[in-house]
Amino acid sequence: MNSEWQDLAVDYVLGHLSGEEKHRFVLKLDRDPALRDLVAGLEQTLGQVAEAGQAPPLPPDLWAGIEQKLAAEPLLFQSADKNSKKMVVAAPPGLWQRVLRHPAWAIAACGLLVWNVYDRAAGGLIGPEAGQSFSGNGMTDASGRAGGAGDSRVAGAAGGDARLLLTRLEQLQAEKEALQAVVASKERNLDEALGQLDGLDAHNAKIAADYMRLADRFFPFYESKPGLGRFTVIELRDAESASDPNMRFGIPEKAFEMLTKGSPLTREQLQLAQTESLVPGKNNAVQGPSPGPGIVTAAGFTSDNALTLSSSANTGRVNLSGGNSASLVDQTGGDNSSGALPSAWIVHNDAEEIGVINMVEFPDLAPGTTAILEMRGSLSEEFESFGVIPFDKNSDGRILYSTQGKNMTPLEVRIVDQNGNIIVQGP
Amino acid sequence: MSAGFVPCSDIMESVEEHEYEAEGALRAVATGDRRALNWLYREYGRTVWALAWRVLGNAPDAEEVVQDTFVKIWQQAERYDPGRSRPLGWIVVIGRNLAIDRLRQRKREAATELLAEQSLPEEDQILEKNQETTSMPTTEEWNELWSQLAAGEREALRLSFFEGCTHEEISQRLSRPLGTIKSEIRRGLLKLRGILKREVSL
Repeated sequence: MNSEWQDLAVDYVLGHLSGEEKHRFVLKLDRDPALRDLVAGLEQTLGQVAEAGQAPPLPPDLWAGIEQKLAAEPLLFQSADKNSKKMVVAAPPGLWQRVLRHPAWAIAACGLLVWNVYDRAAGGLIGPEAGQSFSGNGMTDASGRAGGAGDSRVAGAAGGDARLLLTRLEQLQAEKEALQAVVASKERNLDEALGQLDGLDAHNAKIAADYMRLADRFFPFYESKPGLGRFTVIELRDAESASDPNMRFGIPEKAFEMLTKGSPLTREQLQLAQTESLVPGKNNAVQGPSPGPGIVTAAGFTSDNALTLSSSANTGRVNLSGGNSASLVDQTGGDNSSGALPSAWIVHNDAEEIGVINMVEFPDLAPGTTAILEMRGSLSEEFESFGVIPFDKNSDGRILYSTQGKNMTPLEVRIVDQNGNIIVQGP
Repeated sequence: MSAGFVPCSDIMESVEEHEYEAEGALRAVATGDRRALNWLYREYGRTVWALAWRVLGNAPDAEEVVQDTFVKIWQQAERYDPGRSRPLGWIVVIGRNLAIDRLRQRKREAATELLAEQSLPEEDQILEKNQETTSMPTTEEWNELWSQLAAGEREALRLSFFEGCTHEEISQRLSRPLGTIKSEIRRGLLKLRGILKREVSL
């Protein structure tokens, strides 16, 4: 292996690679077992370096803290992609939840519990066999003695020992009341557990409904549907996700399939797509955002010949070309010939909190309509406005926006008019 | 060199088997097996803790990072690709990224506090402050390991790995050319790799 690849391997494991350099390295990594071994070895070294030196002992309650955090996030919405292996992921339920999740088991569990409690209650109240059972279980010393000697005492009562009989009766009455209280308590617990089960079911149903709602929105934007623009966004990546080895696969993959009429995305193409960078414009000037929050038109891109986006009505593909600058073509990392990878999902990585949305065939707006970009970081949040889209200058349909100061990674994007009516919306 | 941070030979005999087990544990975690996550925690929690401690220099922050690391492993285990990295490397990258994120957050907070006092900080001041809080007592083996690197290699690698600085930032902080910094980092890590590999094969 030559020293260039060795050097790149070091840069890779330390997170210093990005853009085209990283694409090239990852492709080589997949093909070169020796390079994979080197990377694994360097990672191992970093692990050893990390562990070297003096650190206090691992705090004993850390694992408990992890479990608490996992319990605090019982449901995660991981992907809007229908093909994702884990669309809606719930934290693994405990035994109690697993049992109660199925109505038949829940009923059986209730029945067993109630039967058990009543059986014990009955044992204290009637019959010599039940009395022996209590005694045998050693439940209470008092009832045990009563159970064992009761027959002779009752016989004695028949002979006139009414006081002993009354005492025994009072004991039994007290036990009855205590057991009735236990039954009531257990019933309350069961009601509570069943109530929680209902709540969990409702929550799951809501998550499933949310998923379907998003899926319904997601797909029309990738098909030529009258009245809807083809909304070719997608993944926002910041510096953290760029250095994260766990790429998000779902949306770009699906976007590619839709845009290429179902052609599967190869592993190589997927890697390219996931590591695309926002390309600086001419004279090394990153195009936007201009100072202040809101949306900035990307018209400057075309005038600087940085990137051009075009679409074909026949093939449904979006093509990316690099203008007049060969270096820019290289930096995009993709094949820029006709029918190449669409740039649709390309979002930045060289400056945090900046994203690009490419829109093709956006519907004409009625005169006087103002289009406003809104996003939110999770389904539980309200949409937040990112400003008015300057369509008059946005001829190529590309929107460059900034999330600076918003402290949010968009999960869901929509464009509304000034009255709040939704024009397009998608995950 | 002492065996404090170098796996013993008898341990190394089972490294491959151990990695295989770790991959299996990650696969099990992906299916929702909490016991497998606990296994990974027992195997690698100490490493992540030591790393987070070294980067952040205080227990509360380091604890948060360890917890967040294993929560992230729980959430993302299905995305682990054994063809791309080994379990230890994958986990260390997650832990390191989280630790560096927290370190940067702390820097921002420090900068905000200083701004609030109407005293604009020099970048060096912030970095110095951070360095003060992250300087660790070092052990003999740590010193011995690092003493085998040249001073420049040592410092550049430390800033890169433990502070997540870019090449440009390191070049600026150490007032050395960018190319030199890149070479020092690359040489340093490969040298460490060689040293540890030799120790392991003894």
